[in-house]
Amino acid sequence: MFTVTEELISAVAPNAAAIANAKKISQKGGFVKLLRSDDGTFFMGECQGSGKSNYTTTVDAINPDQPVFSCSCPSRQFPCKHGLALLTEIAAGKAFESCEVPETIVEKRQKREVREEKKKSNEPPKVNKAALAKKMKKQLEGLDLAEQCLRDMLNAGFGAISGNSLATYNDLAKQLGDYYLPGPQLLIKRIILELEAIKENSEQETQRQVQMVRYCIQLHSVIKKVRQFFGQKLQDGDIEPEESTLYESIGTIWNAAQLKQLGLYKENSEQVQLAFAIYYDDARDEYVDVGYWVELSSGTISRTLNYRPLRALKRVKQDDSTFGVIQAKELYCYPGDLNKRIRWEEFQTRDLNSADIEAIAAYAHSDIAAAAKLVKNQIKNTLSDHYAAVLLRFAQVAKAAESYVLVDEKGQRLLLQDMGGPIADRTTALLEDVPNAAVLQDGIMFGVLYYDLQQKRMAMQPYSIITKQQIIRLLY
Amino acid sequence: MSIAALYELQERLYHTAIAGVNMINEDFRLQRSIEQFEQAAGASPVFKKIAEQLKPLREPQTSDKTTALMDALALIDAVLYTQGATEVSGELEPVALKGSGSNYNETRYSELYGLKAALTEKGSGRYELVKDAFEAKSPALSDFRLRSVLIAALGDSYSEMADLVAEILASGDSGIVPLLKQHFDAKGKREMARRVEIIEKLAKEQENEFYLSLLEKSSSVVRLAAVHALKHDEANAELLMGLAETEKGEIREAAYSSLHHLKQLDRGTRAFWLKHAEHSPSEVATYLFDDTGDDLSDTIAGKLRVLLDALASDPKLSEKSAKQYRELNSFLYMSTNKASTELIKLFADIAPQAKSLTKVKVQPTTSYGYYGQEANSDLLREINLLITHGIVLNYNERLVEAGSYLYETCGLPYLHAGFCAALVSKPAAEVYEQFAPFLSDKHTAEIIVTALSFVSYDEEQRAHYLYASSFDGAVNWWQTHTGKRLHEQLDPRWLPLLISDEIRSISKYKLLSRQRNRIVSNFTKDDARERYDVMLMSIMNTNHEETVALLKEHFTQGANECYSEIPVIALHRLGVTEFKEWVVGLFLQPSYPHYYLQYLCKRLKLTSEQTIAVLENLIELAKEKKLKDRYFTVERLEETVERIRTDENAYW
Repeated sequence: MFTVTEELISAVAPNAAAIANAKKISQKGGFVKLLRSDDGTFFMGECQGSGKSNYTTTVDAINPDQPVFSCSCPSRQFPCKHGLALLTEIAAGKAFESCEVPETIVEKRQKREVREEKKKSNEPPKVNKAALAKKMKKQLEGLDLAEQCLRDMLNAGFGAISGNSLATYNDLAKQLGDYYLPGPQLLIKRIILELEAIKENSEQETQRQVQMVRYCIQLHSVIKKVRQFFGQKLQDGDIEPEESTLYESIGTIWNAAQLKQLGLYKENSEQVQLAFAIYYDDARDEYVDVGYWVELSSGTISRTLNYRPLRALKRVKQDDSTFGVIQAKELYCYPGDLNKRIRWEEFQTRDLNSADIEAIAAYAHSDIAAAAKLVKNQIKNTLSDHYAAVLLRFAQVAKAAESYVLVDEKGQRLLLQDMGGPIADRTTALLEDVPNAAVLQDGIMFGVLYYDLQQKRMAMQPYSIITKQQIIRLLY
Repeated sequence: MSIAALYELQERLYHTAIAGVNMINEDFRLQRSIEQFEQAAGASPVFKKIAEQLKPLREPQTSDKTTALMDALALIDAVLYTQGATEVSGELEPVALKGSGSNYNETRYSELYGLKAALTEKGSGRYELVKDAFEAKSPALSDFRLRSVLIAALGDSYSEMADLVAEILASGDSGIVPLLKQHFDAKGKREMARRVEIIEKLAKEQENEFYLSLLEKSSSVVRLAAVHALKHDEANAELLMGLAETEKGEIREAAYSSLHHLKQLDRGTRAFWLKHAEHSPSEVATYLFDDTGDDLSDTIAGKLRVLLDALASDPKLSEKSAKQYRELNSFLYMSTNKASTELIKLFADIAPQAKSLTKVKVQPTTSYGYYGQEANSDLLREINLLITHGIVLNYNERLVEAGSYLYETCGLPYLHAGFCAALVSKPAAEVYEQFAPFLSDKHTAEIIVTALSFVSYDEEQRAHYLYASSFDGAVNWWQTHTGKRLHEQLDPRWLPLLISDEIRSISKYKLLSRQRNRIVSNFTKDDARERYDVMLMSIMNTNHEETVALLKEHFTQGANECYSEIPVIALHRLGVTEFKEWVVGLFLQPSYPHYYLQYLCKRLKLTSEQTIAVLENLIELAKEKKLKDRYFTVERLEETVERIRTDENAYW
């Protein structure tokens, strides 16, 4: 049964303006005819357009989770406002006349089925070993190049890097793309960006130089470990990818089939979003939509990462905050540490209820020291993020001098402060703005636990507070 | 070996990386650090491992010191991360919440971030975004995450944005008051004044002490806001009277305004107002406008009698003396809503001097601003208008009687007031029979027709209403102006009489033309005809079949002649829905400005399809080179059509 909710409309709409326009069409009675098949899987509407003839819009909901739209209007937006308006009509329970499913739709469904069957088949995707080996060797060559660049920078010192050298490093960074090394490419770009920033404004020179050294350490680690790893694989003739974070560090782009083949997937996973943010990554030239999620059955905290290149912003849909429960038919997990990257394709949604909130709360760490230890185990690894998102139970959030402090049930304390970094939003100060004082008592804090390099201590930036009734987001 | 030594070593190694590994042999501090570390390496296996990593850095024969440096730093960093402490020292205190009454709403990033960016960044479109959210009553605006951002936006450099934010905060919860008082700078500028205004709206007299504290040592704008805020506590009356006596300019004005708001009835306050009415009429006229007290009415009558006696012998006197002119106008204005015996007697007494008093020019007082005023009003005419205004406002019921009395006693000098009084108090047929004959004389026809232009038919209420000024053609005029319902609907016999050639040509209706109304059309080739048609549009009963039929015929003729937009707009009100020919016809008029076209289409509520039909018609004409408009070329028209097809609300 095809049920249309606001969530579904928001999920399929390319942007908020399209939803608004769709609602206007529906409110103004733009549809002169509404038809649906008897089995409720196919819907058609004839909508008044701005031309002489009306537009014909269809929604094929044979797969209710992934409706397929089509419209005769000239708009390039997909789905267009007419398609969304038709969904609005369905949601509003308007009267539809009966019709047959058109032959063209039946044919399209058949073709889609064939494609799905191919996807679902247990045959593993064919792997061209020779091509893979060639790629790996190319990557190793690229690592040599990257290493030379690194050596040059470190031998001469950052102060000695001139405009000409910067241009050379920029070229090299571009070249690394040809060697299938987007990861190291990104690290070199980050180093270059810091150098350029210093040249423009020397105010934070020392901090930036320290950051550059960290990137260098990371780059060195990538080169060393991947060289060893790939070298061994080539030697052993074991060319095929495996579950290893080293692939993430060189910037491998995984497809769903590969992740599935590695067993990095799960069926029927229920995910609840705990926080959401968007930031711009200069080095990538991309916007990154990051969502933090908790799996209801396991308490695993993961991230969705949606990359939107600047040059293709109009063509890639922006993610948004989600407040219900996502039921992912197949959840794909990337290799990673505490907060693995996840993604899904087919999904349904349902409302979040109090039992869900209770379940989430049960997964929270009740001991700051234990949570910190878990995170330290990750961050000591050079190639891992230097922070991890966790759920922490607290007895109270208080203040000690001018600092915010989370206090667990054992009386242990943890400093709360903004981390800085890619998500620049300041959330800690919002603790003084929460709707009522009870929010800061006996609750669960969700946020990123990290090592503060200036103060040389652990701290946490709060992203959300989970009370008995709701998840209160300090972020988005 | 303490962890501090490891931190120091880390720092030295970072310094080496920054300065360049080539310099390592000359870095004696580093060499010494490494030496010391090696000596204490036995302290733990980890320190031993670090020491091993450091060795190559000391050895001159090491060819690849960069690798050694990076390996050492990776290990040291990893060790130090695991040493990161979590404890926080110091005495714990509860977090003091800023204010109360905020909410948490499940607002999506797309909306919340958009609002935040609009409130904190520069650029176009941000005002509209915030305004749309406010008008849509978006719950995001009361979200606690936006509170501080909204308060900071009170100082936005774009003052319209800052004022909008003030409106948003003032419509919210009073729990925000403590935040507004936080970091309050009494010597601040408009931003701080807005804070006071918001506090006043939310907390009213509860923050009286705060307002009083701002009367001293604060900036002028803040002080002004504080004086306005004093209007909620009766205990401030004496203080306000004192400020009105001693202060000047805006503060004095604010004191009057606040005192007026208190509506004190005690003797002291009454004496204050009477004294100021007599000696500073121009300053207090606005505040005493709605006062119906006979004591004030008699005071005004006394002062007016003196002024009018002087004017009777020298009608140009008020033009010679600015002070007298000001006083005359202020007293006239103040006399609205007053109907004491003394005042009405005064008006009756001056009627015989009507001819000379028409030479006394006064500033129009009965208006809603510039529009609705009568240009070049004279004294007697103005008295008629202010009586009408008082009838409409209905603060003083005696004015209907007064209007009737003055007409019955004095005749034509008070025809306008008498006619208006009759409209609201007598049966429609009686009014028609008594006053319709005046249409046969060109002088009295002017007065009657102009008075009728003050009448408008309310389609929702299905009734005629009398207004204080001439209908200006605006859509839903009656929703924004105060009107008094006529005793009965206007007799339908008026309309066939008014559209008859005989009555239309009996006068040039210059008095009607003097009514300053808002621009009712953007294009006309005949002002006088248009004003007359606006009057007809105003009184037409769109629920009366015969009237509708009659006026459809009348306005269709005007529309076909394309002399003005008014007949087309009138036909829209009469239920006509097809306008293409007339819109195109108007546009083809030689002096029709191209940028009025969209306005007209919107005014007639054309659908996007209808608008496109008009534009397509114009495209055809343009292709045939029959369109002389330089702006609307074929390409531009086609582009406009496309734009409307993509977004029916597109501006063009």
